[in-house]
Amino acid sequence: MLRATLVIAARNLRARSRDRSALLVAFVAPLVLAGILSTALGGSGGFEPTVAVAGDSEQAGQLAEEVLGGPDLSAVVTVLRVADARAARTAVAEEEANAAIVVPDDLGERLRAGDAVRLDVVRAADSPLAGDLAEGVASSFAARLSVAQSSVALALEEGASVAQLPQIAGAALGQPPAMELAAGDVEVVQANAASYFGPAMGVFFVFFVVALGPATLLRERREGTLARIHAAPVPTLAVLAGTALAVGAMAMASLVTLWAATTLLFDANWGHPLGVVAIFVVLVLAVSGVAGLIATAARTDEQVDGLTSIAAFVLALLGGSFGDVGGLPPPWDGLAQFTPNGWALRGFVDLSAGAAPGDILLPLVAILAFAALTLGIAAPRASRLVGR
Amino acid sequence: MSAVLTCTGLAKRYGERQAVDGVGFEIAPGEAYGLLGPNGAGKTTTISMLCGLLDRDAGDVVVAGRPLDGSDPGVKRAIGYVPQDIALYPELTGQENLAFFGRLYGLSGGKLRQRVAAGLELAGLTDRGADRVDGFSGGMKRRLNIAAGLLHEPRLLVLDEPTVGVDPQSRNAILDSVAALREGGTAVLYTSHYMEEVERLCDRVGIIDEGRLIAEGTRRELVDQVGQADRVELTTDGDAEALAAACRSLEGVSDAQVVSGGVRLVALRGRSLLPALVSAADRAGAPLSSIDVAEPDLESVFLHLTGKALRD
Repeated sequence: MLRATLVIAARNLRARSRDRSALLVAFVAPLVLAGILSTALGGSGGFEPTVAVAGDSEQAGQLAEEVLGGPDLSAVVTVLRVADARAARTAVAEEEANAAIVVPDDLGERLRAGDAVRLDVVRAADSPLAGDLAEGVASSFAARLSVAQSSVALALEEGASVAQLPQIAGAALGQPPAMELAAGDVEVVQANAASYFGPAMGVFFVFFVVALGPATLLRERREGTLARIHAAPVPTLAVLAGTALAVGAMAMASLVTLWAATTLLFDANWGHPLGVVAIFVVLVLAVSGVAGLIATAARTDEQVDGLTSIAAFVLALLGGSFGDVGGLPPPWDGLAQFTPNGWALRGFVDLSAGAAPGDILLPLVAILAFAALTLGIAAPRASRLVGR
Repeated sequence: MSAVLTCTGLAKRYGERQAVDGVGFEIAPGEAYGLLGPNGAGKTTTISMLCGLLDRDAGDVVVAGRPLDGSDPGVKRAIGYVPQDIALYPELTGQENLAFFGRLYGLSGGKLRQRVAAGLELAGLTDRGADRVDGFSGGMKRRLNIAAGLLHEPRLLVLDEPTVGVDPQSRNAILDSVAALREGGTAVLYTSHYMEEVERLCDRVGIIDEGRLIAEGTRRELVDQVGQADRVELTTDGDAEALAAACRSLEGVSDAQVVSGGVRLVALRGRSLLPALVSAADRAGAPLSSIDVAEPDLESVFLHLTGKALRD
């Protein structure tokens, strides 16, 4: 049994090594797409957004120069000063800025009058991280403004003069919040788009690699080589096992190649190697289950190709292989948890952010559960594919 | 000497259609047995059951003294199967194809290399062994297809219509190779709808039609079943039905069937009947454009037994 399995696997791999379309799908296409998506949607380097600050007030100046331009953010953020809210929206729309914070020109008067303070944030749909950053900065600044407002009110109650109010407010604004993360408390792991799209394309294309297995079996049945194998003293299970072993090996080789290439060429950070390999293994199992279901439904290798494309694209879209699905409206934003793509990418994102292998147990278990379900349904029917 | 292959009562049904019904025969070592019948007669279904490719509804198969019942996969080592389709991997070389199939039969190392070399030599492809099969001609592929069934030196070689679509030169080469194997002691089961091949190659012939073995024996024994009757082909542009009716009334004519373009007769001493046939044709208003007299052969045996031609 084992010997026959290895003989069949070796033959499959030899044939695949001479199949240009299979090599393109396994090794070239995912790398090319990962590179295109990484450079097109994420820039060539890391996260370096431009945030526009709208308004001529003193507070707008403080936001631009002391907060966004301060030591914590100036290495990452580029600040663009614009006149007003309209200019801010234009800057974001024309992609001169990834996000914008609009500071009302009468902010100072509002503070002194004790009126409500409002800061508007303009977000770009294709720069969610920049929008999150702008919102976070705006929230932090608004909190400081509230502190300043409270300080002014307290000072007035204490008998401070109106002339002293700007100084009091400015001092309060300049104070750091009661609780703040000190520099060095958080190790920031610089992530780039390639760290996302490298794994994303690997997860996407592995479907097409694994689908070579059932397509091969159907073609062998049609061309008569399967009958010749059955005429030999070879267990039926060896045919299935040998084919699965071959495509599994090819899928792993594809993923490892993509891992190495995106790391070297695009500075991708996939995270802890053990965690990466663990996700590779369970992912190949899960995708094999999907391929098995397709194989039991298809009658020809052309049908296998068609069904594989449908499954691969649907799961990729829902799972986030083409971009973050977190910004989609419900229920679409939650469907990723029903896909091996979604869980695999979640694991890769965590690893890329510095998680240890032990921290990605939940994604691994989720993917294994998916594999168990699909393989459990497909396995009893798979014998039909290779049977007499 | 005990038979290499013994099969009895083979049966297989596909829905309402009984594809094989009670087929049984034996093949001795060094004997070539031909299974002759038209397309759809049940030849491929029969040998698929014999090679363990198809589950039997009924019947037993014993190969080299061991039953083919799934309990002993090793019994398949005694069988060499050459399918009707060219079952080779086009992206592999001739050597790689033979090596793969040889490994499935347990060959390895020096023995495998020796058998692969022998297979290439048998196929006349020693100089092309390193070339991919998708670059071979149809005849080359057919010969390699046969060689792949012989790697493990089986006691029984089963060939399912091995010369379909092959040029005459390659066909002769294939038949010569099979004859040599038979003379070397290999038992051969050869299926075909080409009477000439079976007559040339086989010691005994089983005639199968509609799933049943309707006759079996040597060529001589089968031909004797139809007596000394010749097969006479009459070609006419006139009324073939009237011609057939007129011929049936002649003494010595045992059967007359209307066929495309004329009438086919089975008659004793056909040549002596020629004057009577010409007269009968004139009376029937169906003047003859040609007459062809053939000595008794398996085609006429089949026609006699089934009323059909092998290649209808």
